[in-house]
Amino acid sequence: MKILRQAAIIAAVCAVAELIRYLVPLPIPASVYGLILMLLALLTGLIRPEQIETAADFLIAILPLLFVAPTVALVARLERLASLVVPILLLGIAGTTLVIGLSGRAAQAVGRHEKHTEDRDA
Amino acid sequence: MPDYIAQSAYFGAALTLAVYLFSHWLSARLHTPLANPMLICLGLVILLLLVLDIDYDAYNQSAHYITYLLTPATACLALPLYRQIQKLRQHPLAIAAGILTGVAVNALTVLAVALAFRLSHADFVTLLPKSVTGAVGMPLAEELGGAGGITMAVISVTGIFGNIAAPRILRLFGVTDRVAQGLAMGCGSHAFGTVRALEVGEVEGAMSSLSLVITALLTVAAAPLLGRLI
Repeated sequence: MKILRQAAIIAAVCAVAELIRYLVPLPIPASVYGLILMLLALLTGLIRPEQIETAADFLIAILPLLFVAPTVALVARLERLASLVVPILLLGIAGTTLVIGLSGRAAQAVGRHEKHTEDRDA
Repeated sequence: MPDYIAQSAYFGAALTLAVYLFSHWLSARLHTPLANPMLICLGLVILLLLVLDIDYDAYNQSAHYITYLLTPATACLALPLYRQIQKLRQHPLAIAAGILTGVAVNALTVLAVALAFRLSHADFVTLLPKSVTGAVGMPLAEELGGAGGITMAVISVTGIFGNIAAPRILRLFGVTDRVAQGLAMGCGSHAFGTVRALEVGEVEGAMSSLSLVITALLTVAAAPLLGRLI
């Protein structure tokens, strides 16, 4: 029954998220509203972590599995994919190198400054 | 047989689960970063569908019951974020700087490639969420008028490359700070990068899971504007 109660809470949050998606005319997926709602519910104490954590940790652990079928959808769009192979590889490899490298540099530079300021304050 | 598969409520789901578990088993035995379990799994499922001549819609007829869990799983990403909220308060500027830079660099690189290859609006918005977790990026691309399946391809390439290469990239750019390393991995290669960050260490994993969620939210917020660029 514990898992069922947790599933009920998570399903309810998703249902409200879909309602918001239905009412708000913005290109924002329901899952994002679900994430924000869940975070607000946790921060306000409306939902306590232990009320969802068994089911939530399980869902997060199997997240990669949930992407298999949508990614395999590629086989039905091989022609369009073929026309985009070079941009995809370029972005996936060179673009990702820049995003990881530069965001890391920025965080490190600002983080050091942040630590110095803390030290001075202390 | 084709009739059976098209009507089956379990065939695609059973195939997906079996191949997923096999891929993890195989990956654990091959000691090379290229033997990524996700890469093996996707390759095997696609290969099986092509070799056995199974239509994607027939496969997805039952496999989509697994995909059904994507929305609740995404909502549940709030839990690790909530658990890490103390760390967010400890490093607010580093987190803001790292993620804003990452989101901006991602948008600029996609824009540059789209202009260089003269891509259409539909192709541009398909590629735009490439650094964002598939749970958010795929539906976001579709909301903007892109093709979700192709978005998953670029998200997967990004994730798998980040998963394999992130520690080397960070060394190359001289990023030694553990908080910055975790942030960059989550920001640049979403959940796949976070899986690697969790292997590197607890701080890295925590920052990466925090970063992947904030990156996704920020990208969603910026997407309606970015989508108008092309």
